Amino acid sequence: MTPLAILVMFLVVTIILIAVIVAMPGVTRTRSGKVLGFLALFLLPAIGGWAGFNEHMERSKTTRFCLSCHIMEPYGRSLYVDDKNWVPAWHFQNNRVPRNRACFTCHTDYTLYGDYKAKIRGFHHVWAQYVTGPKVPIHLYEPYNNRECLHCHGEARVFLENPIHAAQIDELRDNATSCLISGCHDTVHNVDHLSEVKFWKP
Amino acid sequence: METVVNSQPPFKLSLRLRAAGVLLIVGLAIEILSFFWIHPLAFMGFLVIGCAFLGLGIVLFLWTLVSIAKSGPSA
Ligand code: HEC
Ligand code: HEC
Ligand code: HEC
Repeated sequence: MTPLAILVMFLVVTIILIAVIVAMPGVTRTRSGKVLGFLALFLLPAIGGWAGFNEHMERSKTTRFCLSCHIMEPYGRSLYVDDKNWVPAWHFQNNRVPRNRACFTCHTDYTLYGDYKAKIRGFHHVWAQYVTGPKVPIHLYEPYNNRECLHCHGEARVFLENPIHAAQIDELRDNATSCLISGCHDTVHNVDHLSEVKFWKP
Repeated sequence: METVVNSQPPFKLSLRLRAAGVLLIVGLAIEILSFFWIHPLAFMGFLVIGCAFLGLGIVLFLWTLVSIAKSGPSA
């Protein structure tokens, strides 16, 4: 059984217990009835609500969730570009980021999940999508932080022994030089050029 | 027959328990429904509507408990 099935069963059982009390509120007069009341009208719904919140938080990290908004679709398509210079595509196709949470792995600061600031950003996307309308073309709110790349690459031997990295390792770590500057890893999603490239068909 | 000595007759209390129960059932049903979609609106619906029902139900129940405690053990 999946965790979701267990959670749904838990919720259904809770609903049944509550229904008993709604149908016969008199049962709460007895001592065991009071315990039942406390469980059904307080403890179980509180646990159920909390578990539901966590379930939704987990879902919001999935690639499918990110791509459920039409405006994010080109970014999803860019993961299938058949060219090793497209950084997200090459990571995605070779499982260097988990495929089912590809976007979250590189954009972990920008989801509903994580610290307070990241939550505000996630709500900001939803707000932009449904209320104010997005600003196109989409830009990052803040320049991409090298920290996200270095989280995986920072201590890797191939990264450190590469002479280009080694020559400016402090600038890279301080974010003074972006990993994405032109001539380096400068081809990211490139959504304006998706009509000109070949796609990988798994 | 019960004599009405305290300010909170049991009838009123059981009405409140029922109301709390109905609010909670609606909240939990919305939660289950929200699991059908992997979509930001499902998340928002759960958070804004579902959790509002759950919160109101729990608060109403706790309030009822407090008023029982105030009006004495007979209720
Ligand atoms: C390998 C890491 C990686 C993956 C995987 C990845 N991105 Fe990005 N993304 C980046 C980087 C780096 C930038 C910054 C590009 C720049 O500043 O030029 C970026 C920029 C963006 C932008 C801002 C617009 C732009 O082009 O600068 C959006 C929107 C975006 N990504 C969405 C997504 C979505 C949606 C997914 C999943 C389908 C995803 N990304 C997967 C690394 C990644
Ligand atoms: C509600 C639909 C929706 C979903 C779901 C969504 N986005 Fe977005 N995203 C948008 C919109 C709309 C914008 C443009 C925001 C603006 O104009 O201010 C945007 C902008 C962005 C940006 C650039 C702005 C920034 O935050 O720096 C990134 C990166 C991004 N999205 C990544 C993601 C990732 C990763 C996910 C999944 C965890 C995701 N998005 C899920 C609608 C969505
Ligand atoms: C989730 C971990 C992770 C993140 C985040 C990540 N990478 Fe990678 N990347 C890998 C792994 C694993 C490899 C394969 C092993 C290697 O070459 O070090 C790789 C390989 C590469 C390669 C070599 C590609 C090739 O030719 O095989 C480049 C270039 C690269 N990453 C750049 C980046 C950049 C730029 C970022 C930030 C936008 C980034 N990576 C973020 C895990 C990650």
